[in-house]
Amino acid sequence: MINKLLKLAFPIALVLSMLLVSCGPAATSTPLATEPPPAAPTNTSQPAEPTAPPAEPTSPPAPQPTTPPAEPPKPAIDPTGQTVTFWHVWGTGLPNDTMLAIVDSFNATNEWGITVEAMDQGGYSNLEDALNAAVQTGDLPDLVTGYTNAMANWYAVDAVVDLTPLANDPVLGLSQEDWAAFYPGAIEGGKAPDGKLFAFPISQSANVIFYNSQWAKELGFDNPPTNYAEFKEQACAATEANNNDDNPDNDGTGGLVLYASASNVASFVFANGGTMLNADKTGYDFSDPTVVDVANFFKDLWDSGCAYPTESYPNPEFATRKALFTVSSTAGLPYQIAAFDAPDAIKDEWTLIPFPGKDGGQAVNLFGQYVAIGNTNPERMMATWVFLKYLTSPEVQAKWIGGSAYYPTRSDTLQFLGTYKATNPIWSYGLSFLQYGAAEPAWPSWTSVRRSVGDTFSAILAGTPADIPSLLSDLNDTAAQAIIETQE
Amino acid sequence: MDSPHTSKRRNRKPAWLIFRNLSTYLLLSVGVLVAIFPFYWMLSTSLMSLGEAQGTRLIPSEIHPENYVDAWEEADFSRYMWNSTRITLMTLVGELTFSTLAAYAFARIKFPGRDIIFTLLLTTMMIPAMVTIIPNFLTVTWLGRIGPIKWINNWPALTIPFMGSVFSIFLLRQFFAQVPDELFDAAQMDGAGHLRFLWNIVLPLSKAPMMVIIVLSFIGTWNALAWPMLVTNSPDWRPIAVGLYSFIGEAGQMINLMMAGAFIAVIPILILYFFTQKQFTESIARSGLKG
Repeated sequence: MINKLLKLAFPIALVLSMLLVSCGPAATSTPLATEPPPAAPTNTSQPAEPTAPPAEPTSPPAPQPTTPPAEPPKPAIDPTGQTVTFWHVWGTGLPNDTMLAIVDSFNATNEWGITVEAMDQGGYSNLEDALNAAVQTGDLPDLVTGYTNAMANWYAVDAVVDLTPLANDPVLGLSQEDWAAFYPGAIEGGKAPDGKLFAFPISQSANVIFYNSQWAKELGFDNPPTNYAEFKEQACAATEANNNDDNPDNDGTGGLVLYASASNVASFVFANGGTMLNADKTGYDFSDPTVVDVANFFKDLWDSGCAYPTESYPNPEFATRKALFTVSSTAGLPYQIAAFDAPDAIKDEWTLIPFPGKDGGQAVNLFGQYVAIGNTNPERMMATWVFLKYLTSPEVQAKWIGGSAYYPTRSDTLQFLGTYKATNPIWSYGLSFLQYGAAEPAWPSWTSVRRSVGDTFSAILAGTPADIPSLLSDLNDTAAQAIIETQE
Repeated sequence: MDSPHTSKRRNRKPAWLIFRNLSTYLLLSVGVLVAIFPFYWMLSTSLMSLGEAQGTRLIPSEIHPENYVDAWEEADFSRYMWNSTRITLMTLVGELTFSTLAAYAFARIKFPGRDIIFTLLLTTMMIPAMVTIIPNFLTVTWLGRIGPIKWINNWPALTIPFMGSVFSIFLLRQFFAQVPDELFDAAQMDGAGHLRFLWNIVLPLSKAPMMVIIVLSFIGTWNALAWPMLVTNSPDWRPIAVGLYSFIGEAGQMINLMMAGAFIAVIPILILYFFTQKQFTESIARSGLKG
């Protein structure tokens, strides 16, 4: 009898426990710990503010009405009353809260009665899977975020549309001042090879180098490296320091944590003034000297023992003097700042620096947070554009930046970021790099080519210097094939 | 009568036996450590600060129990936990019902093409799930368009495709086939049909495989991520794994919160296994389905 009761009790207990857990009262205790103040940026020769705001509009300006109408002009396509679905990837924390607040504000105030429904789709790969499936069924979202190379694929199959007509709409489009305010690189990053604007930048981050300036000074280097020779000298000095100290656990560390990904390769290529594309921008060219120099530089650092890999994000290594340099997106700043709070961290001063070129160039690799408009119907697309215009307006973009820690895509947003800049000095310092920004190719083939770039550079690190020309030549062939496959 | 000296000598185990036992216990201890370590790491990391959790420490220098509250709130766990509970219960009930009926038919009812159909069914186990994900998505979208209930972003897409499990049918069919025909003959003489025989005789004899199905199906449904992400686009029906996934950012992971969330998410599975481990182990041993 007892056995039977017990047997009956267990499923009931299980269900009850799950119900209790799931229906439990909302937790009320400790809020999230506030972000600790970041380490102050060190005194470097870099300017604190962007020095070269875009001077030219990046797209033809919208025609302006010459005489003020008696009543507000009506748009050719009426967006009134439309519902807009927005698929995004910011599903938790402050970015999610901020985006939802922006959407709520738009829904409450827009004069067209447009309703936006923001829907988190997980990570970028989940979102891409969902959109690829939606392409098959035709149930497209109105607005979708994603990587530009994925969007280029969607544009190629007409799943997303050219934004130029919407952005230049006489009534609801962007003004000449708006166009002029956008950073040219950000707009260019959303254009197809035919010049059509299929993706629009709502914010951006950058691939940069984290640099332990305090340790570098102790090693005898007062300034960050500005070319390959200086970079190698500092990385090798740090490695030597770790090899020669009393701690055997840090032997072999100290220089650059090197992960031969396409984004890191591209960053160094941009600093050499290269683009990885051929002269007429019709294909890739990995035999260009700007790429070959990067391959030789990586190989030299690796073989000298001044670069090494880690299995995960190298934030702890950077915070414990196991790396003088690491490479990271600026979106990784909160994680790096947190790593300096660990008990075994060394509270050094550190900063961001751009990637150095072989002979003195510098660049950062811009990662834009782009959105595209789904190919639905004219009214919905116009309503979506109205929301997108609102989302990228200076004041609203400033709210988004404050919640996401990304960088703005238009210069006039900065006027609303005074407090944020003051309280986030390292982020603020990174603003100065936007002028050096370049973006990876927004080509459909880049999705597979970037994987091949990573594989090739890993092979370069594992092989001999003599292998480099043939490996890069093979990469050219693979990339050419990828272009053909994406055009079929 | 043995002298105390002789008895002492007899009780002493030979050296090779002691060595064998020691080796066995050593090996098993290593196995236990290997099995327990991930759980320990999860628990330990869940109590660390983010900075500490990114490193390689195994013991938190300072305990942060508030991570559990933060994880619960950040990822909207109350909603996801409830969603996972109802999705899992619906899937379990459906899977047990349909798999039992199908397995019984394959095991005890003779009909034309039975073995061919069963073989075809088994061959579907060889097809990787990722290959069929888009066709399945198109199917549920189409069903939602022609039927009275919408499937996408609703419970049917999350539960109905998993109510027919080939593995469950196969497992139950093997057990049902072992029930002696004499039992069915006797039941028939007492006026029982197939359904009564299944309900009153076969199912009570098949508790062990049923428990295996319950545990495996529960774990599979509870941990599902890729399919739910594809067929839902709002939190209304998304399961707990989606909440965990939200701690992975573009340039890093909130690893401490993720482990706190993982610990919360694993509790129902542990409770279930605690109550069913006897039958589960029995069934695995009897069916030879060891890892």
